[in-house]
Amino acid sequence: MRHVTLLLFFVGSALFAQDAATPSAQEIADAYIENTGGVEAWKAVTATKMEGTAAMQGMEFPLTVTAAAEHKNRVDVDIQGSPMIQSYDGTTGWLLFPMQGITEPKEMTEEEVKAMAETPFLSEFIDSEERGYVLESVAGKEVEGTPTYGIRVTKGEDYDRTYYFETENMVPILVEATAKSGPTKGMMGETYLSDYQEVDNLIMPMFIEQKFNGQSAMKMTFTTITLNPELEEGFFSMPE
Amino acid sequence: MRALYLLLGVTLPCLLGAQDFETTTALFGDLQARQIGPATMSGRVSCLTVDPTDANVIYVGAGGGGIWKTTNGGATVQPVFDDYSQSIGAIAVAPSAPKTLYAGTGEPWTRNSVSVGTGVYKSTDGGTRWQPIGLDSSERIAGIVVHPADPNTVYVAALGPLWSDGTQRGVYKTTDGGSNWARVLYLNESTGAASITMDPTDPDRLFVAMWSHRRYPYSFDSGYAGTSGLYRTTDGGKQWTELKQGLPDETLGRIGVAIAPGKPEVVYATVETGTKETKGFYRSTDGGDSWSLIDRSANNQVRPFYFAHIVVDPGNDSIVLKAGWQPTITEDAGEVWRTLDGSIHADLHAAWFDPANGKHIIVGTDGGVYESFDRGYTFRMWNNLPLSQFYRVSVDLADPYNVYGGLQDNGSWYAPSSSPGGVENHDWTRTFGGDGFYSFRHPTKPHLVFSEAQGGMIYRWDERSGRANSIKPYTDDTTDDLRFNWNAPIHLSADGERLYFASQYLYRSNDEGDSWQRISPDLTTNDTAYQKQYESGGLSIDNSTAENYTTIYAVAESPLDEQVVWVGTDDGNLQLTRNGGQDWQLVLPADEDFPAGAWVTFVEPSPHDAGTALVTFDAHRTGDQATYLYRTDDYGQTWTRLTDEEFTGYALSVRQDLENPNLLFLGTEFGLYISVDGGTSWAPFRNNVPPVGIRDMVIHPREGDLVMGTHGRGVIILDDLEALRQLTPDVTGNKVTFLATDTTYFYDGGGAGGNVTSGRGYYAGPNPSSDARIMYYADKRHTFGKMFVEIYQDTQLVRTLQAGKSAGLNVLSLPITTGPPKAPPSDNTQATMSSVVGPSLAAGTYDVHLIKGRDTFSTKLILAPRPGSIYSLESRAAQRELITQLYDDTEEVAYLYEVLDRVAIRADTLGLTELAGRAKQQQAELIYRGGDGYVNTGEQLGELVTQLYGDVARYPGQPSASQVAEAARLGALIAKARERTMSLLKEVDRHNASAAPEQQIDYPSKQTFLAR
Repeated sequence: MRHVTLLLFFVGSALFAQDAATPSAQEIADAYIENTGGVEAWKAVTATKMEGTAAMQGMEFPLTVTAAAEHKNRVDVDIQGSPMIQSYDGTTGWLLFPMQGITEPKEMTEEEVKAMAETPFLSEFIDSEERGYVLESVAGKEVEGTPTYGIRVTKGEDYDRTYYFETENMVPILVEATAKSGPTKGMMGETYLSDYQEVDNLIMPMFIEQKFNGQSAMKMTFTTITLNPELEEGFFSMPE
Repeated sequence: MRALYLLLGVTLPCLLGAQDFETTTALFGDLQARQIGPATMSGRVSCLTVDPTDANVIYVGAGGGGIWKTTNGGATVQPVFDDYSQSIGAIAVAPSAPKTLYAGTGEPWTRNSVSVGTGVYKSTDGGTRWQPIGLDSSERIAGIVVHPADPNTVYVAALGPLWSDGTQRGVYKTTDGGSNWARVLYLNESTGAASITMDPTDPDRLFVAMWSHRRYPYSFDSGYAGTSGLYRTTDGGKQWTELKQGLPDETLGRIGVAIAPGKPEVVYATVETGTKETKGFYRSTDGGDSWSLIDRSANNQVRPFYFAHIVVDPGNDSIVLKAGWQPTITEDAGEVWRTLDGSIHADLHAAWFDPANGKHIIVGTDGGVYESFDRGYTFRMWNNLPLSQFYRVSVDLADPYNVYGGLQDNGSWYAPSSSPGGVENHDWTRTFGGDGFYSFRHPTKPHLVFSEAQGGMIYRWDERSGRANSIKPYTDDTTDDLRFNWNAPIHLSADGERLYFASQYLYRSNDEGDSWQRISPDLTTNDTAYQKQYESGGLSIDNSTAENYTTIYAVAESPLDEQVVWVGTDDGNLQLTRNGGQDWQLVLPADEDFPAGAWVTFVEPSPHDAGTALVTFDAHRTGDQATYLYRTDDYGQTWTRLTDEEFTGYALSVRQDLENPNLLFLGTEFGLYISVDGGTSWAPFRNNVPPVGIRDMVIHPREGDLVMGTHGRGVIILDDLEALRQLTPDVTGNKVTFLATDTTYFYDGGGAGGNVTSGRGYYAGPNPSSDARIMYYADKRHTFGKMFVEIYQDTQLVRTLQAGKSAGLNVLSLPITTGPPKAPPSDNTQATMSSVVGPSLAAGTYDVHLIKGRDTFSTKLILAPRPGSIYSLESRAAQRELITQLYDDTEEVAYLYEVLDRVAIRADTLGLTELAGRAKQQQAELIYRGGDGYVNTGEQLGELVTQLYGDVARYPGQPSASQVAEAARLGALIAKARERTMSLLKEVDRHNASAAPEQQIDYPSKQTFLAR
């Protein structure tokens, strides 16, 4: 009897899901963090190394994205043995790109590193309030054919991103933010997330597609994600 | 229990699916349209606003093309309002919080083709995201002003409905950022607020022009109820005073009013009256208490409904710019006027003076945005705003096909649907001037293009000379005076044999318009009460032919039976002949919802059944904005109204797919709607198609592309309807279903494109993908687990690519290349870039596997040269043979270099300096390292091979004899290099044989190296 009730509950909830009240931004944030590993598991991660490929303009290149607490971030792309490295160590951003004539590490401007500098390592949905992130429910929309809830995350003057969570399972599948520098400055950047998979005890997206104004710019497919990788001293810092 | 649950899980969706096959936006998945512009001639700009704290941040509002933002003074522009009505009346930046913006929709320049708005919107993030904040039945907003210190105190000048009475007119005020509105100035149901200006030093002091006006389908009346007037408040809208002293004591029309921001006691007004003596430019120097007529020159009297707008230089209260057909500027408070640079488009509606430099002016016209740095003597155009307003669109059968069409005040043009580097400004060719409408290229005499200008001026343009000659029919003894619509219909039969043109009569020509046969009586109501366009305009006569009425507006011959011709009129008649014009029958729908008298905007005779037709009716000119779409299957004897709660906007165009009769397309004032079930259910298609008026559309008979002529966003193409054609219940009932794809032809096109160093200020519409397409339908969005595609030839994996994750249709682009060779790490950029190109896949059949979690779905893909390609199978085979050789040679060099690198490094570590030295020497002969990546680089064997590889890979045809010989020469050199390296490796092997394990020199096999 109990099973039958449970079954009816399932069918019922599926049919009437649309009528249910939209959860609050905090409820969605909590569900997302809980479903993908929980606060403690996320906080136990202090660095990640994601390896895969980046596809753009019909070409593919090996790609490694390494990130660590305190906004540290480094992207390594290999173009037939020739590197493209863009890195930020929490203070200074730098670029190495011999194919563009940048044969020695070059410091980037404040504007160029803005997006890297403001991207937090730990999700904004953990301890949002005490870290200064304001979560605000905004209208959801159909994203790639599926309904979503929208949460706008702001912090101070500049930080402004909107996450769209698939209503069915409460993970973000789209993040919107306005580009802050370069020729795409001012354009709406859209980051699509999918292929969520288990990495140790966390659930993380292994496919990320970047679009600007709806046009695909880059697709990143990750095959290996290492949590808390060993990183040599000064890995993110500009070589002397 | 679990089994029961699973069973329900499987059957329930299937059952629901079978019953519920209906059109939804989710079905369309990631199918994307592309906007090819043009920005060459741009289109009507109704307003523009500059951030008072950063003059590089500019918002441009278009008559029909939405809001565009630049943050770099126009170098790049982005549309920021694509989810809402594209007709913009006013944009205001809150001076004290410049990320807070208010946008009023509904253009206030009330020509009879004007679109309609849906209220006021607010953004608090500089225009990225907008929220509707009310006044949703105001239809048109003429102005918005924001309190200089409080971003939440806002006044809106609501012009209100044009074609009917309405109460959401006058001045609205909010003090809480738009949550609540108070209507603080209202006169009556015909009188709206047409202009508003605020004293920046005393924000409770405002001037407002109230305008009584009305349009009818056949006429316009400025002045209308006689209640127009100029009003002032000095207490933030609580009390208003009508200003009269010094202003004409007679019926007033449209007034534009502006306070001089730098000296607020100076106020200017451009005032419409019914008399030449009093109509003109007025000035007050006592804050509006009294007024004097300063000037009555042409531009201060011209067409007030379109040009009642003045802007005062904030730095100099004597400098005023007056909108107009030929816009003017005064530098002495209105005594003397100078015409602005004649090189800009006529019809100026918006202007901005740089507060920091009054010589810097930006203006918005019917032809886009221009910028001056010498106070209007010369202007430079912004060439990147694709706001073009097409009335009609057509295609030819060239490859790539061309798109033709005519535009509001911007003539008739055509351009290729794709072009190297994208469809750029220079790709567009003009075939005629004036306002443009229908335009067709003759299918069998391709040097001829038929174009027209307003009011029945049809021309035949000859590409050989560039000349156009008038071929219009004239009145004769058997006819009344000919009445042509502003947008008189031209129809050309698919074979080019029959050219139709219509006034109130239908004409047909069999000799490209040299002579005409009248094949109908007057098909309109011929109600003479509605034939008084010479009286139209109210206070200012405005007889541009736009008010010509009781005319034919739509003509279409059945593609299945040339005897069947449909004619629709602007006064509500739908007429049919089934014998080539001998007999005509009125065949209107008769249901109670049918809007009698509505314009017949479009007739689509079915390409599948001669008795079937789809017809759109538009009653918005009587205040009814409902979407009217009807279908008949019996030559108009009975009709079914096709409707859906998703519909918004009056109906403008409709097409039935050429292959799948259940696939229908409807264009309304608010965008594109698609039905996949013959019209029972509909969904808006919004993937790169904003809610813009779609006046016309055509399906390309060969490519199956839906080509849309939009009234504000240029030409939008939905490439290849193949995927939509296959959406049936059989497909949507499954988890994943591959859709059939035609044979993919190798793309032979290319070319260097246009000027790639022209800077950013130009528009380039994207080309269609030249890749192979893999199409599938998925019932749900993929979020968890892997999902990717593998392509096999025979059993060999040739390519892996990411899958589309959307619910609904997914169209994957498969580059017709395999991966590039593993190349040595050169510091010669040219060589490295040559090696990142993959060789083309061979012609043949491929297996496509879609891996989604634990499931694999499979289909096939066929690649072949396009029939008639100039690159024969033999020459492609020769290219493949050489490219295979060069590919292997590139990898060979890469391997040798890698092995030598290992040896050199390890030998060094072990103190085997001599061995290390020889390894380095051999490396240096293979690859160039060092330099600056630019002008200090070199070429060794590796660079020579990769560059030759790149050259051959990029050209699909026969390699040159020189290339073949060079490949052979390099091949021999590589063989020698290999011998040298192998000899060195023998030494290494000997060393390893006698060395302890920790003293050995490890190096990979070639197989291992290539597998990494």
